[in-house]
Amino acid sequence: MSAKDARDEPEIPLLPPLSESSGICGGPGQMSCVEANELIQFYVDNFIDADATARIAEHLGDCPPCELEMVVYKRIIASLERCRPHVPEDTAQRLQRFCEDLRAGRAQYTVED
Amino acid sequence: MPSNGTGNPDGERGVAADVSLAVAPPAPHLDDADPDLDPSADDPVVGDDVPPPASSIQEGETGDDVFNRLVLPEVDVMWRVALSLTRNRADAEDLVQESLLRAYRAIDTFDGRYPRAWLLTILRNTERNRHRRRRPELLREPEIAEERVPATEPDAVERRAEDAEFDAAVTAALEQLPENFRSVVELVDVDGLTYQEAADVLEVPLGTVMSRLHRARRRIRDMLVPAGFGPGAPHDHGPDDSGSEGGGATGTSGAGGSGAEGGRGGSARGVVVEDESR
Repeated sequence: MSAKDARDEPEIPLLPPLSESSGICGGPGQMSCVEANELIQFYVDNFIDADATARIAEHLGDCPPCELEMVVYKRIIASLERCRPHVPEDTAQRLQRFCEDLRAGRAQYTVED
Repeated sequence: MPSNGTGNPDGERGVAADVSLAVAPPAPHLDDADPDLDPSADDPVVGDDVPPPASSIQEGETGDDVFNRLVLPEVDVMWRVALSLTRNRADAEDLVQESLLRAYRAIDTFDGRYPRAWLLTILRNTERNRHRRRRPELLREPEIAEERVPATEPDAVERRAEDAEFDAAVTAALEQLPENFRSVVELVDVDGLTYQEAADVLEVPLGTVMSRLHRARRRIRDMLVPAGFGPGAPHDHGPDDSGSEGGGATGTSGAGGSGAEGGRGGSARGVVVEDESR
């Protein structure tokens, strides 16, 4: 594990110098892959402001690996949403009846009070 | 999406999007002491710590009118959240009924704003009271609750064939997550709550929800790789699970945040797993 990490790590400078491009992305003044990875889930959730959105979108456009990450997260989220359980019909009916009973009971409470 | 049947449009997650990352409150380290189960957090049934904002109750509306207009549309959401909290259909239905009863009795004190948040607060407190009443010994260890159903029940009707395998892998991964991570994913991604609503239900800071959610999705993503999905050997920058709770994971965190990232090192998938398995 640690050997693998050590091998991988140098490829991803944590703080790429702003004065030179790190390759296909993260050039001067651009968002780095590290930043993009921090923000990628906020981005797919539409939870960051317009400026950050624009910056990460620019990065994703230049960086296929990060773009793939984004696509994977979107697929995961879409999949989870498909798993959203639906209220079973019998449960829905019982809950509806319960609410009707509540309202029917309320009139009595009002009278008693 | 005719099968959705929830009446809730997609994209609801973004409701709180006006809360920019920069203002996300700092959160404590969540995994060390989980405030979810803090028995001292003994709220009244209806949270009254927030002063009532301007009422949305309309002139001449009775309690029944308010109940019909603002509560009934939320019953589906209440049921899904109840199912995520109890992981049991019978308990979920009981919980919703009891919550509806409490909501109905308190309807005259409800200011009419944020009905979902109000109802989820009632639901959460009701669940805590039920839990304490019935099985106090489980208060600190919900993991050993014996009766359990998967919170996610894939509805295969409209599912495309190519999605089915992927969904099965995602669900399997979700089920392997530690409870406090899984519950956040269930509330936000499955049940469709906003970050803030999930934070209220779980009684943790907003930043904790974001952090857990993102780390949980990251683990799901990592588990998809051996299942034959996902991007394979990742373009792994590793900062995802640096443990920066709350607002730390922002582009605006500045040099301090970046330094912390650096300190934890880059491609840390192995470290991540160890961290979260504690």
